[in-house]
Amino acid sequence: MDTSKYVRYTPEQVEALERVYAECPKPTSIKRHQLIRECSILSNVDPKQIKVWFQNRRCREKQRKEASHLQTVNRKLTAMNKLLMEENDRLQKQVSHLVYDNGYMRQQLHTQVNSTTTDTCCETVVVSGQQQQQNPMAQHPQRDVNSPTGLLAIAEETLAEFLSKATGTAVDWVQMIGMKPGPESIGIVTVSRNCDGVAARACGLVSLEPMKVAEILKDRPSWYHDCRCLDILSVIPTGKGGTIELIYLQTYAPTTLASARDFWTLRYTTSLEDGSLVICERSLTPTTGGPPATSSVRATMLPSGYLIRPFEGGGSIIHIVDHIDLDACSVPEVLRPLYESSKILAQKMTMAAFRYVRQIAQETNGEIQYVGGRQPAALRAFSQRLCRGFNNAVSGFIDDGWTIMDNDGLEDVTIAVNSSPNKFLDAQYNTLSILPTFGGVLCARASMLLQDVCPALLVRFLREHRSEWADYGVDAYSSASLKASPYAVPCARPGVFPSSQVILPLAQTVEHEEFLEVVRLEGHAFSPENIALSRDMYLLQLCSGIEENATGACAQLVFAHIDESFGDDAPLLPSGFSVIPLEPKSDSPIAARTLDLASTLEARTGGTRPAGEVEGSKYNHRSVLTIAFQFTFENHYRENVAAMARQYVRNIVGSVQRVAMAIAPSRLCSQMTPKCFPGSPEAITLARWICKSYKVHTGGELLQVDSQAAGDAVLKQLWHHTDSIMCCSVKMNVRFCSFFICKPSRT
Amino acid sequence: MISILQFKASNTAMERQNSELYLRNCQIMMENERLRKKAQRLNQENQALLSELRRKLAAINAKRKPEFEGDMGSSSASDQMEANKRQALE
Repeated sequence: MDTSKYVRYTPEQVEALERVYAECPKPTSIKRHQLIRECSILSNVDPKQIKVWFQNRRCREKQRKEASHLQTVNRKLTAMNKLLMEENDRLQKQVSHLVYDNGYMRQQLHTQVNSTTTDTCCETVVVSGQQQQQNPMAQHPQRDVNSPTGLLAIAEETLAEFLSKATGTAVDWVQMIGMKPGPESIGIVTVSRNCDGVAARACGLVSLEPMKVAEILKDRPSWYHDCRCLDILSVIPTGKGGTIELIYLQTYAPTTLASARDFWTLRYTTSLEDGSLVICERSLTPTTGGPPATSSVRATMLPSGYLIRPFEGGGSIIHIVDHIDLDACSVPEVLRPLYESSKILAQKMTMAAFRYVRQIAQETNGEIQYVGGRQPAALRAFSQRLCRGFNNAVSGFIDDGWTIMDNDGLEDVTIAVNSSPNKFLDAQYNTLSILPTFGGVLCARASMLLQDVCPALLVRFLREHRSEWADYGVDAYSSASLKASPYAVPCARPGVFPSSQVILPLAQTVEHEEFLEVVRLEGHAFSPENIALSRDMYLLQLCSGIEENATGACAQLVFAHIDESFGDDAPLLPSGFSVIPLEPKSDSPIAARTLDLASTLEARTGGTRPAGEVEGSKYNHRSVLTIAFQFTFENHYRENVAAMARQYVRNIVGSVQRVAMAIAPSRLCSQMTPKCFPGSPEAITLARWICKSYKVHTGGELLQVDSQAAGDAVLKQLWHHTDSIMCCSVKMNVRFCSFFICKPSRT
Repeated sequence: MISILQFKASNTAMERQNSELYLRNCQIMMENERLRKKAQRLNQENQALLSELRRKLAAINAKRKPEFEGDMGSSSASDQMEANKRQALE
């Protein structure tokens, strides 16, 4: 036996050991002995030394991984550092110019008093003062925009203006709140202040080649969820291998209350001397051609674009600038903050683009784990289809085949019908649409204005407590219609049928701002006639905007029934909720309750305020909630399905109002609720839910009092119930108290 | 073949470097924010100074005008000095 402390292995021995390590990095002692026996080269090695070798090998592997990770972080930090230093440099130059001008002008003013200066001196001051102002929107001389040279001139101008925004201070940029400065963050995101329209800027590092980044960014429909279509109407090559494209971009409307926007733009792609790639874009005036705006409002894109600089190791530093004028004046006043918010622009466009590029980079570099044997691209396709389908439903473009049905007198829910869904639905749905009984697709939509409800909180609640708003019967109908043998008569009983959900995660994006999951709905049937209804149903669900630090961001919950087989090309008919915050305006009066949006608009146009409004409250965080549910229907059952959908959405609106009341901080109740609760509304709501849940699970009544009675009575009875143990948890940074009442199980 | 100890040493050094970089980045970020605010303030000041200068200039021009149209008789001494200077230069 070799007794020296340091064992030296021959190359053949190392090779043999490495082979075993590759298969099994942590062999048991039995395995180790077996190895010594079977492998002739290692036969004279002490078993203890083998154990040590494997220990060391694992340790080395760990260290190697650590080193590689640290190197990646180092690269990112260095890139960030470079960006920050450049910005610092620019800012210092800017400040020193301003200080110089400032001093010069003071001097001028001082000497002016004694009036010994000549006119020409003053003129110089005036001119140089102007140069320090924000980039003046110079009047563009009339150009022949139908010739390539004219277009090229516009293109070059666009390039200069874009660059001055991306790397200069042509727009007054302000750091966006909530962006973490760590190495995993998106880089620097800033939003505009005091400029025409809204603007946002982001920059950071991604590990993809510039050409690939450019390709991804130019494909707007893939990362911009609100993009309906992008048509490149002509392509003109320029010198240096660049191109000029004339593009028509059509977007979806984020709510049902204002029209969608479209753009007619020129996009110029070229490379600079230092090897950077630039893609810049701006709107052209209607005189240059382009499709006329039909159901959309024409918006303006001011010089925006992408600057992609190569970075060592095959990466790129990307600067993204989005500068848009959405014609906010043409939307109802209550919605205007949405169209004037650079934060929302940043979230939906600038950061969406950046995150998507990062996502692709990580997938390409193999840093994403595959889930359940599915390629990330297939899962991304699911997400995109869900988003798109939902946006389609909300927007309801006439040239997609949607027509509005007459309502039943109340304006709260709109029903739209599409008898030719081939145009917009997934191609997969056509398999169902060729059936002779197929009547079309029906969409029920509603909008609500919410007060003091954090979008992320509401959507999180809707996702986690589906049973609070969903109707099992309706879900059963949707699920059955997938299978081309739908129910003859849809059921719309108000939420008596109990069900629960199990959420199975599928995929999420790098920064967890969006995730895809499968929801299994389990029906619990207690009576014989319901057994037939009780079945497991599956939903594909996409949830976005509810991550931890997502205060004040848009949140969305979109889902579609899906067959158990989960084929990649399964037909999807999405429904869901979208909550968009309206940034607070300090000067407008406040409504102290959640309102149906129609009544708000009436109140404003009529000039009178609904009674019960409380003015002058400290908080004014409003948001718009858009609800859209889609169903297929057979030919003869259109009216039935319409009635079911209308009732369903009405119920959901009621549920959301209840939830919003519970989530929002307690305040004086208005006439919206029939009773005023001296106790905390959250606790009373919870008490009701507990009673309901008890009834559902055991079939009996928990309390002797009718749950529709005054909330106080319910709470008191529950409190004094012999079996209740109360534990309460209060999340301080969330205005939502939850009380857990545990009941020992009865044997 | 790098030994484990060497790895560990290099990793510690890299970690320290990363922390320093991170801190430096945070510092620069704060500095940039400060500079931005300063630039904004200076810009506003400059605007104010500029408009004041313009006002003064307009006032001077207004005072000068009467001389071109003929002596109004009420020009101040300093304006008279200006007028004399111009005549001297011509």
